[in-house]
Amino acid sequence: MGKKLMIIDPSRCTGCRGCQVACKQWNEQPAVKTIFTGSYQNPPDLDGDTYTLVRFSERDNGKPYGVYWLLTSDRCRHCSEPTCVDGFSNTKEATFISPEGAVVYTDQAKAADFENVKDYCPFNIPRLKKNGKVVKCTLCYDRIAEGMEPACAHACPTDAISFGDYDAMMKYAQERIAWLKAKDKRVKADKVKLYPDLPSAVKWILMDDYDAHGLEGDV
Amino acid sequence: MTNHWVDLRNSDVFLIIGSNAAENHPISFKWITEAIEQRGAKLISVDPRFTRTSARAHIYAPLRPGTDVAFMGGMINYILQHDLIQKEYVQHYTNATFLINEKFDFKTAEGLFSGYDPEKRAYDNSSWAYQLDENKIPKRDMSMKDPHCVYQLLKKFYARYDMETVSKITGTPIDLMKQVYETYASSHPADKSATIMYAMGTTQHTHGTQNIRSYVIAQLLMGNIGVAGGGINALRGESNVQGSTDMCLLFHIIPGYLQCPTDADTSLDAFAKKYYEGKNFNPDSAAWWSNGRKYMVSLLKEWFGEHATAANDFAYSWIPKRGGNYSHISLFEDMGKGVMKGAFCFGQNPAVGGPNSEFERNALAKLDWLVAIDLWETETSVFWKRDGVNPKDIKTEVFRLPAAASVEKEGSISNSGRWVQWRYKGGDAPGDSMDDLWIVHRLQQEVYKLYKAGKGKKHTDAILKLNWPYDNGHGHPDVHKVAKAINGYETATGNQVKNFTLLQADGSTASGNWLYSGAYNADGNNMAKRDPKDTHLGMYHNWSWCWLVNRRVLYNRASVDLNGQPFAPDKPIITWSGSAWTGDVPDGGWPPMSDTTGKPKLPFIMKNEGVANIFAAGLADGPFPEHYEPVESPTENLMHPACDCNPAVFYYGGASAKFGSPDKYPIVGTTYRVSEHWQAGAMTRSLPWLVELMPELFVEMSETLAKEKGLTNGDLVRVWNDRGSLVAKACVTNRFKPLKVNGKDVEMVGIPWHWGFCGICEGDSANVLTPHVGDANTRIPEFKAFLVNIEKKL
Repeated sequence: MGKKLMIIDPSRCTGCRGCQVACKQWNEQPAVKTIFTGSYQNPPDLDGDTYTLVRFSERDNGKPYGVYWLLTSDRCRHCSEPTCVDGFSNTKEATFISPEGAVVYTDQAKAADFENVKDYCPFNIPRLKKNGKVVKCTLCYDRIAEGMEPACAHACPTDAISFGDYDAMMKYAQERIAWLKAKDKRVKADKVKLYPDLPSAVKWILMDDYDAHGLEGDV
Repeated sequence: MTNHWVDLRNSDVFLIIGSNAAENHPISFKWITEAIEQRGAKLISVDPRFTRTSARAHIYAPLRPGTDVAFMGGMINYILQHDLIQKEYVQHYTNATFLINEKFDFKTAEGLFSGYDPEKRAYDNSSWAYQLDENKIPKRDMSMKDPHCVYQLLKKFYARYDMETVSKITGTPIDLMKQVYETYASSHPADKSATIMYAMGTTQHTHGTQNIRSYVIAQLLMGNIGVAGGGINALRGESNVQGSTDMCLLFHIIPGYLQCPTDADTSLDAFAKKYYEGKNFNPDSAAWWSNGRKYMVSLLKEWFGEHATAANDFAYSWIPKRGGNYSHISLFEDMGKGVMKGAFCFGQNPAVGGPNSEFERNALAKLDWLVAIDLWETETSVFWKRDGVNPKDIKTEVFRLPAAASVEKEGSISNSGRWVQWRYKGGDAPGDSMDDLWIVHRLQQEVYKLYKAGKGKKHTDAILKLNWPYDNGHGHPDVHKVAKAINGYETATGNQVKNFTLLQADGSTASGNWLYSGAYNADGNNMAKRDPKDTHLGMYHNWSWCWLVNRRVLYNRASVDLNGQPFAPDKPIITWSGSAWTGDVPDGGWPPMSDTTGKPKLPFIMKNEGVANIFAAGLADGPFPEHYEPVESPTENLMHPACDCNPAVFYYGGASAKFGSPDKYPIVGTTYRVSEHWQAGAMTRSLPWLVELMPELFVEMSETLAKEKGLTNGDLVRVWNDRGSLVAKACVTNRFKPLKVNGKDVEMVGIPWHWGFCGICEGDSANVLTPHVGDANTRIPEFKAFLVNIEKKL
């Protein structure tokens, strides 16, 4: 099938969270019992039953009214050379990398290795599920193997999440970045860049610093 | 929508006001995003709150709830002062050139138009009429210089709305206001278009109709109605609310927007003459409503079949006549007085969604019986066991009927863009749940049986002679039979009519709704068409069917000049080839206006004048929109302190009228929806994945208000006024800021109205705070601007 690439473009995101619900549906994850804490972001973070979520980050926009409200769909970066897999004592059984570039934890990804795995991930992605398994986004490797796009990309109404062949998507990302820098007055042109730097199957077109987006890890 | 969803991609400027499209109509942003990226379109968000729509906007401007007319009045003034109109369009396609009665006046100090009767709280609009020539044709001054022409009256009227004054009323900073005005008005060149997208933030005010009118006037001055990427676009809040309105959901109309006859309309002839006939003397106007009698007779023929004859006035006397105002608030006022004995609630949850909802819950207790039809247990169906109520005290007998969801039944659904899309049944409904059509069918059959057995005494003809041939032979109605009856047929042959132009007033045709005539004709079920090929500019004529006659942009003959050539050659909706129109289905096939051999007709064919109304004499509260404060307002009316609120608003009085004043309730309240929940919440507060996203009722407020009240994020807050009290979690955010209104900081709180006491996430209902008062024309409740106070809940 060849390598694939997901591009997440927060400049197109309306924070509808269709991605979040589509992820739960495809992965058959239960709802998390949440409370309202003052932000629309809920659950408050990734967890054992939540592989993707939209981060709502309000920043000062330098104007008397309104804010710079960054809406960013977050999930595993699917590194091309993932370090997290080395955190498992049974890497071969606990993980695999699909031909399309999805980094997947299997049922053999056990709780005993969780702290290690977490430490090995520069982006703070792996989570421990109540059933004792270490889990995270699978890039819907089972869907993409069948020629479908991941559930989140499929649900996104504005193509803020798009998915396709690596080279075509990289070209698309570069065009988007050029357009945003040159034409879009809504973003901070000097902040627009592709993230993360290291080779990966999921990348973001940032409008601001990565941590302003609520994302973790700058490598 | 005069236009449709896909057409948003053709727009150059989006003014989203009174709507939060990103959250409540997420798919719209597919097309808006495309227009921004492909056309360089600009997005403006004008909203009291900084929303997810604002997050994507080029310009965000706040305004105080209920001040749209002031904001748009400033816009109209800006446009006129800078002469930024599309002149050819304004001259020929609007009534700007029409001369108004010399007695027409607006008293600026009193805030009243001529003809006001303070006793009746109503206008005599005779002084708002056109000046007519000897042939009863309205007089026009094409130079628009006559002081009595609409253009000059408009200019004078809105000259009072300078930016300083507007800013003091709305609280919008002048620099932001100017940016909005400039950007919106950049759509005035003939080849540019702006769209105005609005929803309940516009309509749910005591001057809601005038809010929309203020948008319409601006769009007409820009030449933006009838064109690609333009229009006045109401984003409907339910996926089939368009269809239900088309079919007669509202009390003042019957199917196809025909007038609902009143007690005073004693014969078919009197009805037709009063509403439809003898209204137009202008030979250039098609005045399509002059065909009203044909549609009414065809409707009566469908309702009563062979029993409707010329001899019995086509059974006109058998249909119920309207004796008063039956809007939502009026119904519940009557219910509260015990006038109404029974009620059916189909997919409606007024115990959460109705204004002054505690009053309405108490009103339900006055009913003898209530039938609640829904997917889940709604608050309305169990109003008798809410906290603070003893079920023993409530005598209402409640029947709950489980209903099928939209995907569990076959039928049509009409979207905001008037596309009528046929849906197949996706699966059987669980348990005993049945579709609404079956429920109504069984009701008809049971009532018929009772009458047949002599147990019904009143309106026997209406029941026993009703034409109801929809059964499929197995006790279930056939939805195709119903759809074909709506399309219409020749009564002699039973053959489907092609479209509404063939409907007659002599009883030779029948049609359940003239608007939908053409949806299911000899070509088959056109609503089920699914050709994904774009026929022209995103109109997809062979995907579903749209009213009227598959015309995708209403009033599209206003998109061309007098020679039939498109104002915007790069996005032509229709073009005159010299002998025919190409592109969309034209709004009438007549030749363009410059034609001297044929009989051209003006483009706004549903208006008697043939042109769009900048000056609209038919409204209850004035021909131009004037700024009036909400019934509950934090300030006096700066335009005219002598007249704060809309003088034509109807006050019910009695137990529901508990209006508050700013000394006791200094904070402005408003209500809204979020992406994650649906309306009164029955559908979504029972779905765990959605409850996870938005688990609890919250109240949004500024940091300054939170500081004043000693609140931080997540604290419990009590919000109250004389109508009710609720407890919610605080959401303290810079998306809310106090607005400088008439020199004073005015704070605001925003409360989503989805919650109630049923489902897996319970919460107080925002509508316990909203008032029982409505728009002067429609009586839609003033949900969007009211007064409250708040305190930390310990």
